[in-house]
Amino acid sequence: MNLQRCKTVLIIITAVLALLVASPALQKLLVYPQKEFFTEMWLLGPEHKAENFPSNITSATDYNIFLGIGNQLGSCAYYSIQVKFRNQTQPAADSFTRTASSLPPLHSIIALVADKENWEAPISFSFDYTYNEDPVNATLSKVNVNSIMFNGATLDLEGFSATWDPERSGFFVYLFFELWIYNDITGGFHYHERYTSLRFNMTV
Amino acid sequence: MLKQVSRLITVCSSLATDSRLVCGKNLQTSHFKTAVTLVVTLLLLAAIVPSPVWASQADAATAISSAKSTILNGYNAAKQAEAAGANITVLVGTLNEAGSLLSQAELAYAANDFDTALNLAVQSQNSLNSFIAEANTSQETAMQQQNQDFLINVVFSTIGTFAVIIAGFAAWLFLKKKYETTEAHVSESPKV
Repeated sequence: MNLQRCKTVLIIITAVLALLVASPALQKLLVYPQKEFFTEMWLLGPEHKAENFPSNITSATDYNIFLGIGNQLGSCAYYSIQVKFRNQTQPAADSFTRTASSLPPLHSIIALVADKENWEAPISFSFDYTYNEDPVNATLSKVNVNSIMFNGATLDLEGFSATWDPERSGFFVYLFFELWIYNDITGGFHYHERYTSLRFNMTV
Repeated sequence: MLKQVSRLITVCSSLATDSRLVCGKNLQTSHFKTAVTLVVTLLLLAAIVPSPVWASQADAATAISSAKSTILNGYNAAKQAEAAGANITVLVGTLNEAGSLLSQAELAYAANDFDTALNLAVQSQNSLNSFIAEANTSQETAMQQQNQDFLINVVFSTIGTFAVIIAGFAAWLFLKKKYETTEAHVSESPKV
């Protein structure tokens, strides 16, 4: 083997060995492609599946669902899920403008979730409501919702009502869950631009 | 408050005196006096003995506020531990239990069940009694681990890389010298 060839072989062997030995240090310096940071939010039905959600409801009947959050933000997060209730005329959260509903929450659920982990909680609720009858036409004109039993606690809803929707033939109300997240910089909760809701037809 | 109560008694007594003057009947006056005394006694009791509902509501509100701040402190400690590279799954689990109790406390408060709200808020706070210490321990352990990792992965690796390059260069010099010596020997050897 001549000197030139020997030199080439030696350079290749040295370079390969140097790269192998340097790899742990290089690993710290390499910049990996940035992943997308987001939070998942879901509702599941009583059988822990995305089916059989309560829709046609009756007064004083218990309903069960599951509410979940998946944290993909790259660090642990402190969430507050605001539980809100509205009729068809009251403001909802908006997916397009990414704004929360201006309605006050009935309740706030606290959830702290580590990165790449999920949080899930069972939710049980029932409504106590009565009908207003129109004596002239002998029809039901309005539903007065007196209270909601949420996870075992009775929350007063006095003055809340739902009117008849002639297009969809029903008295509709919405129970929705808005996701808020704690912001370390401002030291307060901010709307995290996610919500999920259930529509109920209040039947006799 | 005592001043107000004494003023109230004075007003009631003067009322009783006025009524006696107007009615002029001893029997009616004595009945009226008894009624006024009763009302005054009840008012006194109401003023002196604090209402259990309101006291409990204020206590519950304070306990909830205190539990919220404890959870926030815990969250900040957990975040710091996470930033130091600690596995905070267990810590977040503990925080979540406290958060769940606080949620229940707030729910009970909204349903005007202040005793339950107070009890749950205190439970929430107590569940995080040693949390900050645990989070700090996790943070310190993670920092030590990080330092060790840095030493092994970066320092040793960099030194090793330089060592390989120097060894390669030394090997090259050695081979070159050996080659030159061999060449010289070949050129010096007598030709037949």
